[in-house]
Amino acid sequence: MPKSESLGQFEQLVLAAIAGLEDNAYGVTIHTRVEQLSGGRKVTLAAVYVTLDRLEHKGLVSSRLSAPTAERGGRSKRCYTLVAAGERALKEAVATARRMDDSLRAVWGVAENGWESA
Amino acid sequence: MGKRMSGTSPGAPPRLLAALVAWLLPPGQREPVLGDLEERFRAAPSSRALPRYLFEAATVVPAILYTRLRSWFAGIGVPGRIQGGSGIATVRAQVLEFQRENSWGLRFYSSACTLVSVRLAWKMFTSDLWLERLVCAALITVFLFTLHQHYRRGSARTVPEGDSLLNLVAFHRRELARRRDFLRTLWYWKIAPIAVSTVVVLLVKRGGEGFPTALCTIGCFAFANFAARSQARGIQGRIDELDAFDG
Repeated sequence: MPKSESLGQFEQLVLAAIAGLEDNAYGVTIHTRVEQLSGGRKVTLAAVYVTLDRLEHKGLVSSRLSAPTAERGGRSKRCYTLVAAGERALKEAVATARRMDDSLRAVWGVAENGWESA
Repeated sequence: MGKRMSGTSPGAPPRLLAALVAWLLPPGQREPVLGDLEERFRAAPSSRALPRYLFEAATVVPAILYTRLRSWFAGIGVPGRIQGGSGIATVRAQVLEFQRENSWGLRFYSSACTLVSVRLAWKMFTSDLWLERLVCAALITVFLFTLHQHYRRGSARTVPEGDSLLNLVAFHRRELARRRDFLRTLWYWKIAPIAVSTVVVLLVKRGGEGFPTALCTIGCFAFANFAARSQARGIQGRIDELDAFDG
């Protein structure tokens, strides 16, 4: 089985945002979704662009230009889609997080309803 | 300047500002990034729309330029790829994007060259030292020579109109080869003349004290040459892809 790319935390967030947005994943919506996923932490649009560029170079996402829309001053969007390698990398990241979660629950004895109540 | 509507829905961002951002961004990124900025501007409450636009433009432009630079130095993300299975309109759009990117690079270099030459010309006419005037004149000549070579070797040619897909691909292949040769030969018509003249100026002006700076300068130019060679290898990869596509 081919070894997938290792992902940083922010890259995981961006990939998860793209996966969740499906056909409507472009700069603005990805930025909004990443802010939600990161628990309300402030994220700059620039950070999202840099990460999207890196993910595209790693071959985890692909992009295409959409038709122009009026609310953007007649400009097109660059829409991103998760490719198979990106999906695999994201699944692997989720599996790792799950294993880590199980392990820490066993050690720290965290209550079922979440980490906050520990 | 952009006209604002009342309430929480401002109109378009200031035109001058948008034009400046557009000028700074590489052509391939211009449309989507300007669109994203404008969408965020329209969605913001009117009192915060402009500060937000300014902040985001000020952070996004360097970030995009950084990603371009990183790709360039790494020799990855080389422009000029044609996606397989595309119609002629898409292929033409991709070819045009590659040509626009090259024009943008040339325009950027021309602007920098003009600024430096104007500064040097000013110094040449105001200096009392004949040696300094001579050095300035030599440097201007070097910059004009490199600019001429840049236009001769690196300027993008017009994409043929209404041609067949095969002709379009053949045109793109020729342009890729030109770009590759441009990058491979960069050292002898651009890097070497500028590096040598800069080192000479440093040594003439500062004598022995200018030696460490001269060494650093040579190092920087050597690195630039390395980056150009790396990019040329990337372009060669694109040519190979096209050849495989043809096959």
